[in-house]
Amino acid sequence: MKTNQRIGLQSSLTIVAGAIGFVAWGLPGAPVTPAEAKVPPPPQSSRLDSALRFRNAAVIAAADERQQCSLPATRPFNRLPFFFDAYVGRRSVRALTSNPAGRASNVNALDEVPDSSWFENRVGVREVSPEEVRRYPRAAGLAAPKRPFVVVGMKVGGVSPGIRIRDANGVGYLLKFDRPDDPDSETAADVVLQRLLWMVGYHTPEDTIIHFRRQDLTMDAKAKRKDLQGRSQPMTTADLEGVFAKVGRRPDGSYRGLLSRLLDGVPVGGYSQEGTRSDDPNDTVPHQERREIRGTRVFFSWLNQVDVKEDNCLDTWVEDASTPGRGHVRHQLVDFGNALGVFDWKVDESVGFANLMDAHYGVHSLVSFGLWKRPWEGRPVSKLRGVGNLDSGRFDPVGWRPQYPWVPFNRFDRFDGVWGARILMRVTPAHIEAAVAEAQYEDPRSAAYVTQTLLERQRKIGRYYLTETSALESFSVSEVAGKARVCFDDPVVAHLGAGEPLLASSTRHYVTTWDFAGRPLPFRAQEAGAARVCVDGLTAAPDANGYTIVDIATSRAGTPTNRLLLHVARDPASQALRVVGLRRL
Amino acid sequence: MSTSNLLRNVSAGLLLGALVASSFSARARAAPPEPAPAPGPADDDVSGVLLPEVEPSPSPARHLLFVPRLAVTMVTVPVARGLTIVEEHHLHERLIDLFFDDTRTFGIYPTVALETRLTPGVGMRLVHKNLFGQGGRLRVGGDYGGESRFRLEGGLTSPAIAAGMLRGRLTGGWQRQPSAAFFGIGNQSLVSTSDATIPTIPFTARGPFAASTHFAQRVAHAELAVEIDPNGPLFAAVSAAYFKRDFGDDGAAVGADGAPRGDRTEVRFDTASLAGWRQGTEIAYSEAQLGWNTLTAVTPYVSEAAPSTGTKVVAFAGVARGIGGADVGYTRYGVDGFRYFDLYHGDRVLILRGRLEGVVGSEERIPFTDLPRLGGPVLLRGYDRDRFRDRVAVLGSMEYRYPVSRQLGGFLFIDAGRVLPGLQDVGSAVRAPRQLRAGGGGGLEVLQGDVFRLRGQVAGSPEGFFFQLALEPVYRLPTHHQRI
Repeated sequence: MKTNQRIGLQSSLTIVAGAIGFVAWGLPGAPVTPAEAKVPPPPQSSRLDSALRFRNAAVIAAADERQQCSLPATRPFNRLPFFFDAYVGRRSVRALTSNPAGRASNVNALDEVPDSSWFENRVGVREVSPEEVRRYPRAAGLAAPKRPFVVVGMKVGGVSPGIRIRDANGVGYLLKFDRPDDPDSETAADVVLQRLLWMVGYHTPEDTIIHFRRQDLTMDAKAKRKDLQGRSQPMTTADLEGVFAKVGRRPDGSYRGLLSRLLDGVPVGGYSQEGTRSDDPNDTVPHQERREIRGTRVFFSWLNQVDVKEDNCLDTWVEDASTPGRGHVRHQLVDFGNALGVFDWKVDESVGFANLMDAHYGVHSLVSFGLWKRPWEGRPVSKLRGVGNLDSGRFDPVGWRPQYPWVPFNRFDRFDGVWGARILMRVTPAHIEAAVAEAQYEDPRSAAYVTQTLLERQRKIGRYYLTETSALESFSVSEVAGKARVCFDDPVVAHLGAGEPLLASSTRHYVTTWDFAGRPLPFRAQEAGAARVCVDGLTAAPDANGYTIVDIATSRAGTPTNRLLLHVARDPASQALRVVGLRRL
Repeated sequence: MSTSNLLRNVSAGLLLGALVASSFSARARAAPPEPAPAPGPADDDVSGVLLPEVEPSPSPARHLLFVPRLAVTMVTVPVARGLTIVEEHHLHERLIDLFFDDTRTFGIYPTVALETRLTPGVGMRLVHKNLFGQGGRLRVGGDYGGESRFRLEGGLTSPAIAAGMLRGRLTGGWQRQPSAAFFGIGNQSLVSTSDATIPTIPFTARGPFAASTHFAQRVAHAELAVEIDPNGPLFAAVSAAYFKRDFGDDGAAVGADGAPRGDRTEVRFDTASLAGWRQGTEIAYSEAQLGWNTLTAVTPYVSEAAPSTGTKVVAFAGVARGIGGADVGYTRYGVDGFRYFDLYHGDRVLILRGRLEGVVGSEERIPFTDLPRLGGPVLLRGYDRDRFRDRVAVLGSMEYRYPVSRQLGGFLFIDAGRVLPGLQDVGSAVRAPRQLRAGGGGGLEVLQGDVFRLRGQVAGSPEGFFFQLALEPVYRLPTHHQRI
């Protein structure tokens, strides 16, 4: 079927207008670039350029989520409307909405995410040993999965083969497999991410690699599967054999699988990328404004977790034992099998660089007639078993993109970036090695490659975000004989200094102080860079409970970083100085 | 109000709005960062903020976006809701269940075809995939409307036999086509039928003028082909085909006012000069084809439907003989070659094409419909379909293909060619390049995995611009019966 049609001037104009529209449409899809690091001038004015003041109170470290709720409605994930909205529907409406960039709104006075049903501060806040990363599944106090396994149904959703089972202890699991032409990859990626994302603070399922034989599985007479129309049907042995027909078997006749313990509570669907869940009274901050959701961009870019959509997170309602019928909603990240460059890596080298339908790159390619070299072209490909398109040389923390547009990432800013990077840099090589070891790559070279690549990607992320915005952290303040001492950690020197001595040796911190009204205090100091820096001789303001704003401007290799304002005040009860808040500029 | 006035007013309004908006935002920027007197958050607020930071006020101009936002919302929300219903109620699977059996190998389903300038077409298809074993296929279809007023088509493909090297194909069909294109025979320039300097008497087919006309035809055909593909670059096919054509439709030659229609072939041209017109044609045609194909995608990241490098050459020769008393007899020959050059990364590709097709026989024994043709979305783009026809057609083409996104490719092309009265005229045609017909343009093509879906192109030539849709890649060669 072919059609020819003459077109006149009007049609030509329409096409040109359409092309312009197409180009314009591509603009909102431009790379998610954190706001440019504008270096403010040194504070030489007579008034502080920030109106923000904090309450003279202890910093809140955990969110108030005391409100209970009954079982919320399940949010189904429908792919067609999701993709339509991601690329056309809601995207067009958002493009026409004046919604200026704004900082995440659920952070505490120290610009940190308080512990909640979404996130729990772990590494850096408490000791997380490599051993804890390695044995994570047993940390919850549960026994190891025990054979034989009883098949209770087929896995629902996703494209990789899988079944639902129950072990001899009566614990439910999801058993997933690698594709036969790509052994180790998905199961290994899942375990590595599960361990590392848990470590940096997210709630994840308990995943582990298991090797078993076909005879370790028996069928439950009530096992179910869903047909193409979503109707529940009895699951037969033929269905089970159909799963194993799609799965690679090891030379010794055993199978390798990913055992993922079913989450506690009742699944109620993934959380939305915008807004809140109306039937959860604790869900009060729009998801796109939550720091820990926006900040996943840092960790997902590190791990190349490109499969980001609403069915890659899961809310569960956990009933409180003391109040039957009432409980809380807990939010988890799930399903990491497409991370570490595994997603479509054999047929698509742009994964991690471009959206599935990337108008921005599409327009660039179209108007340059292919003369523009796309950033992923010619990227090296590892030939190692179980390793996808994961590399560090072409990795760009800013240019990284997931497969699908994700609203919280559109709202991502440099403050989310420095938050995530500060946590990420606390992950040590030993932590990564422990997580990768649990993935049980068949080829030890694969484990070494993944470990080394993640370390290199981690360093790139740290280098970008930690030097763009002031990353100083772990502040403390003390007072001796009327003179205050402020100490803080500099993660740039601590984590990047060894690799870049110049970066550490050239670091300078310029310190000035202001009172509550924003008037300058006489103190001036300059400190050299170090992993932990202390500034002595500060004098607290005489009024407003000693409310003093310590203004720290940092310069590295002669380039100033954005400033940080540390707010300290006297505890009315003890009269001791304490940190009441901070603001990164 | 005239259009220009309207545009002027709209422009002035937009300018005024922008000025107002900029003055507002400038005022907002100029405001000093005084501590805001606004009440602080509650004491248990996690942020610990007592006095919030002063943020610049958003521009009032943002309210101007309300109208387009509402319009877009009114369009997109129902679409999203509809997609939700489709997915939640598994409507896609239910439809497939309705038209196909459980194994999805046998089905009967309706079709709808919408093409610009043509009436909507409706039809039915019956397919059986794995007939006689893996790869065997039966396909029967009927259409009403669209390009053909009425069409019946059927095809039976055998499974691959002899270690996958041999495949048989039986096809046949009948259609009534009310508007096949005819512009005359030869390389003449198009004239307007309203041009007063053009004689009003009917043109001879091979005359000094070409005019855009249409004619009705009824075509029945059947073909048996055996394809030999020994899984290497070499491939071959032999076929035998039967064609029967009748031309003309008295009812179409006059308009509603009873006057002759100048765009009908039988009115504008002297049909006595069109071989086969009066009595129709009934022929048997047999053909042999030999080819060489090394087209390949150099990386797995490139769709097999858009090869990166290699050569594809096909040479064919066939003999047509009239049957049932039809005075038809000619020999057809041709060669069609492609060379793909991988310029960069496997997806910036330069494609060169050379094509020559001809028929040998006495003029009156070659039906005008069987003459080699140029023009359309594949051969000599930028011209109407079947714009040129004669005993020899030569074509050279250069196409540059580049990637746009994962499923979208762009291309630019230049085609040049012409038809000639005989092979002996090729040399003189080469020496007179100004008589070549040239077209050029560009477009986009949609690829889904390793499957070509469609390409849309804008092609231009001195005869105008054309928007053309093609559901076949440019390098797919016509099957035997499509040549006639």
